[in-house]
Amino acid sequence: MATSRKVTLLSSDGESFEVEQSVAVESITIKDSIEEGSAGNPIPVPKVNSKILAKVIEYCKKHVESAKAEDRVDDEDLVAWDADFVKVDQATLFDLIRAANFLNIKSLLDLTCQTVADMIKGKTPEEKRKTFTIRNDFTPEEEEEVRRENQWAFE
Amino acid sequence: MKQRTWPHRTDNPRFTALPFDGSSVDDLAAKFARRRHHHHHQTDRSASTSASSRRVPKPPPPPPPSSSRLRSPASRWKLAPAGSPKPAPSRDFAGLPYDVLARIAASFTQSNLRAASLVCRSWNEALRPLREAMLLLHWGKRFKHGRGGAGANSEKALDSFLKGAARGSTLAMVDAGLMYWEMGKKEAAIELYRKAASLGDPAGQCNLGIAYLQVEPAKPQEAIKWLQLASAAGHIRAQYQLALCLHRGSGQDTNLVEAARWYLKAAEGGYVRAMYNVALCYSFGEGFHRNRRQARSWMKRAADRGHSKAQFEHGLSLFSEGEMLKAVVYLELATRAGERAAAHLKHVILQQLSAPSRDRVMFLADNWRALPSSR
Repeated sequence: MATSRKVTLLSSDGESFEVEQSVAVESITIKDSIEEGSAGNPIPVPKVNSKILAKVIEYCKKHVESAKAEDRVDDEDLVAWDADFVKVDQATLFDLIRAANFLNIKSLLDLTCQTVADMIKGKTPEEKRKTFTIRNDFTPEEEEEVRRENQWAFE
Repeated sequence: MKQRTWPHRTDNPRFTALPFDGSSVDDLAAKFARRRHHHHHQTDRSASTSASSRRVPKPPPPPPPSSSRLRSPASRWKLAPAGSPKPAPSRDFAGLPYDVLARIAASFTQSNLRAASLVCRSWNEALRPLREAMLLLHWGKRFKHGRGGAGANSEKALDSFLKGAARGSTLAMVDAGLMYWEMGKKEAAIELYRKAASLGDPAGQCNLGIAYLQVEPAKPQEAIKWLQLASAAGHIRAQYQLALCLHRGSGQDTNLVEAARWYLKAAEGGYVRAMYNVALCYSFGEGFHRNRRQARSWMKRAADRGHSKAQFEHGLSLFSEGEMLKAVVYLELATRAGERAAAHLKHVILQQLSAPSRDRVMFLADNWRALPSSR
């Protein structure tokens, strides 16, 4: 019934992507709007440009297909595929996180968050800043305050 | 208004039962309001007159130079565009939404959390609830084990852990789950483990897997799925448990090769029972090709770390090689640990030793200490 239906997604920069509905509804946001009947066709996806939307669709397609296969061997392949999927430049990673968050795609959000978490873990604050090119906007007093925060509780 | 937009909120309605303390969320909203008001104090860094609700009684910090970055977490995601142009580079990781940052750092240890909090202001703000959670976790542990002059208090411990869990720390979730499990409230424990597991916490995944094996009726498929995730993340106990599952079958086809592989991983990670099992695998050619040398090596490692059956087995090996003194020390250790089979052989050998040798054996056994392991 609904599995072979297609929907069209419209990226923020005006490109159209036709996808199976089963793939599109990996995004809870899209799923909800379809079910509420407020989606319209094509479904506009603001904030997500065509490059990122293409990647997101690629991800959803792969995961929907794997779910159908249900083989444990495929599971390991999927993990490897996921690992490759997130081997992208930081800007893309950032965009993927925001897209996954906005579109409410749990597995993609989990994957991207885990990737960032692994990039963060074990580094000093300065190393973390370097990794993500973040400017230190603390004043020295603030920084000291944060360092001392809660110290008293851990005696 | 709930600020958390965790994607899986909709399929976890049971979580509304937990005491989700929204107070830190309201603090956050209040801080936003305050920062916007003090926008015009921007240039004045030396004398700050802005009041702050920070706990530390120092002169409060000046407001941030640009509040445009801070606007992004406040605008909630809807399908209609929010339309707030950011002058800063739009792919600024400092501008990650607070709930995303909280999710990223959910399973961080104290030290990682502190380092992340020191990166920049917005991260510091975003991770505030998690830092509170760490504090609650710390207190919870103290209550649980009764330190600082107070006796153990399970109720307070659980309460602290649950509050920490509500602030998004997977470490607190796992500890809370553990307490529930110990009280026999398995459903509640599993709920918490599941939450931690889905946030990528290997301990949560491991405990969830083990829980699924121990519930009635057992759910071996689910168990294996979560144990695999934890094992892939390097969780040593999970690797051992996964190997056990694959070894015994529990509803799946047994996979000796995989089982042996995971036993080896866990053994290399320092898990003593895994070392013993690896030795057996090499000894019997299960999952590995028969390899006497490896078998002996792993059995000794397990024995040296206090595994009583391994001590017996290793004692036997030494005996068969004619190393009487060494053999009997291990057999003595095994006997002391309760291995009755070791006692008999031990007596036999001891008869053949001179008195000074017997004394030496007892001396060595008395002074033996297990090598460190990751349990």
